[in-house]
Amino acid sequence: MTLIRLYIDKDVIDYPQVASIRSRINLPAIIVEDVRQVYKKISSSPDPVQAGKETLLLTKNMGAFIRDCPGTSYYKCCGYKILHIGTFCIMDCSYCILQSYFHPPILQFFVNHRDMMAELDLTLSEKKINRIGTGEFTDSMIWELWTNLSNTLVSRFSTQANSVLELKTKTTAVGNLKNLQHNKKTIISWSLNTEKIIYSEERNTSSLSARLKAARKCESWGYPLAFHFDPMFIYDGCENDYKQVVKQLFSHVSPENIVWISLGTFRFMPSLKPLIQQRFSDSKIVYGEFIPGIDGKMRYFKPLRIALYKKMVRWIKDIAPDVVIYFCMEDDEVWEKSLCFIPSEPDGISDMLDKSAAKHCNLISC
Amino acid sequence: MPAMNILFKHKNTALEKINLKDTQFCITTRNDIEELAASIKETGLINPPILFKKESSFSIICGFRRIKACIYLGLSYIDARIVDADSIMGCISLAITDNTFQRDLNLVEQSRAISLLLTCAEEKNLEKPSGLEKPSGLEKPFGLEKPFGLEQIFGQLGLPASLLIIKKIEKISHLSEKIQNHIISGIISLPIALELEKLTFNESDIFADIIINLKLGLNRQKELITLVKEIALKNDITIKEVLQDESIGEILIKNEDKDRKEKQKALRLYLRKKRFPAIFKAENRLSEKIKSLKIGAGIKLVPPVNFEGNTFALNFFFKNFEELKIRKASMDKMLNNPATKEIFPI
Repeated sequence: MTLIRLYIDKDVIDYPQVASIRSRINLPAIIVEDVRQVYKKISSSPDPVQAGKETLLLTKNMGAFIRDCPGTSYYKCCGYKILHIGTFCIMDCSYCILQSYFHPPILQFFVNHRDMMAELDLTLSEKKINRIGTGEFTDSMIWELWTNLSNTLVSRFSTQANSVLELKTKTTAVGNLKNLQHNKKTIISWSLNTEKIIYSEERNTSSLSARLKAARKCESWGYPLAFHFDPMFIYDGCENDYKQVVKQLFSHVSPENIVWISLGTFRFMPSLKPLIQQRFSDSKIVYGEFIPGIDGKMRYFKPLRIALYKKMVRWIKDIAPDVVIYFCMEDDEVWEKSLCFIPSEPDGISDMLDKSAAKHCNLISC
Repeated sequence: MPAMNILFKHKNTALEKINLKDTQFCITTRNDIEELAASIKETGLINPPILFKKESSFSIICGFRRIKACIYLGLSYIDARIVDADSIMGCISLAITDNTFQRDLNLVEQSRAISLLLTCAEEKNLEKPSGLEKPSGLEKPFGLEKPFGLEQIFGQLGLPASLLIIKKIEKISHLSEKIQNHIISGIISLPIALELEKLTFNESDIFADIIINLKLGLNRQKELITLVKEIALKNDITIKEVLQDESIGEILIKNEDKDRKEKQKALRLYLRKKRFPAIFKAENRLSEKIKSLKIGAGIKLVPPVNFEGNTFALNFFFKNFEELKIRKASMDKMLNNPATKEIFPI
């Protein structure tokens, strides 16, 4: 996806970040009095999702930079924190929830980094382990093209020992990480899927082997790693395909350097279905056996989820018995039947992941 | 109503000179002429049809039913207004306003009118508006004051003035006559018509047959179309292949004795089984298990909806204390049955 338009909120025109980004983007900038003008323009275009991916808005984050990952009461949540650096993505995954999450969906990069760092300083001064990621409302590494964000964040996290930063991506844009002083406080993680899904559903993303090669590079630079099999899809032959991905993963990186692996099957708000049908008419992902979950999202019928999870856990544990595996937003039954234990309430998953982070990233356990 | 400054020549015209096969400007969907013929017989032709000369004959712009009624009455000549048809848009606007300013058009008539206007503009290679497949920069219709956005033109001609609605209604003109007739009779609604328009004539006609045969309500119609489409997409087969499956044929044709409700239920079950095989199987298995517990009357074990949650419910129905005691005994019996434990996932 190529950027076509660059908008700059007039309130941030003099921010140092803006000059730096402009020098790397060969586009005339349009200064806007009110960012709502840009939102309106995107919303009224024939394909707002496409338009949003081609339009970059440099603006301020008016809300909190650090937020709790939105969980729901019924499904078990891991207590993750989101560092809200920007929104949306230049890649184009059919299943991406962000297509219907933002109104409108638009690439925004928040340039009020002084505010961001102040908030981060506060959080990092807490005497507790925080797992903080930038890959929830965007891909963590797409911004490498135009910004020095990873440099700023990796350096900041390297100077403390309570918390970890997770940079989650589907790209191979890791070159800038090579010479950074990270002190193992930054985990580089990849979302993994089968070649079939990457080919048919993840437009403009890197291939599986490219992602794993990038992971191997990061491992060689001393970074702890993580992997997310999320969302997994159930289709004819999926089990064999996912088994191959697991094999490939461990042929590239060592289990000892993996902080955690998460598993999650495809789930979506009902409003995403017509969007996928319209934008990805060849995609079959919405024709699985879905039921409405307790949180209103459509999920694969539970016995189908459990069957796939059980196998994934076995394949991973066969090669890497000590690696920490967790589920994103699943219930007790899924945990019990797939991983043979139910994390204690309220902080079982959080404690388990904190411990793994402490071990792999040399954190001071508080 | 827009000002119309159109010059007509009144002419006594031979009916045999009127080309009834040219229905280019026909908006009406009504074919009944008996009542109209009786009225013409009684009071004469008050509102003369409008024609235009095309080679050696006349084509009809307005008055298709009036002319048929006159032929039905055995007349040879009628009084008609003849326009100089150098503007096709003028003819179209006459054809539309002649209908819209007399009565409300049904959806099929509206779609014909919209389609006529858009086709005319398309032939003139005018610019396409966003959101419409056909162009908008229409030639100024007869007598209409300064236009003109597309919405204004449609509005001035008595048609819906919203582009979104125009776009939807226009699609009806792409449907088969059979489906258009069901739209007129109110059996098929606009949302369903729009779903059917995405299919081939053959596929949409098969759907229409099922809808008529089983007298499906709106929600059931939607469910039927969604299930069939998704089964086709999921299994890489055509909609026709899904609909022409032997089992559906059996449900619809062979079991003619079954009443409609039963057929509706059987079809729905069959399609759900095809679309959600694992869910269907699990539901059946659980239902068999619960049945095998023989819990007895007045108690109902309700599993979590869609097996997603973990909360079961046990409903008791009783009219008095004695019945409550009986229910309790049934529940105790159920709890002592080792098979009961198997119902619960963890």
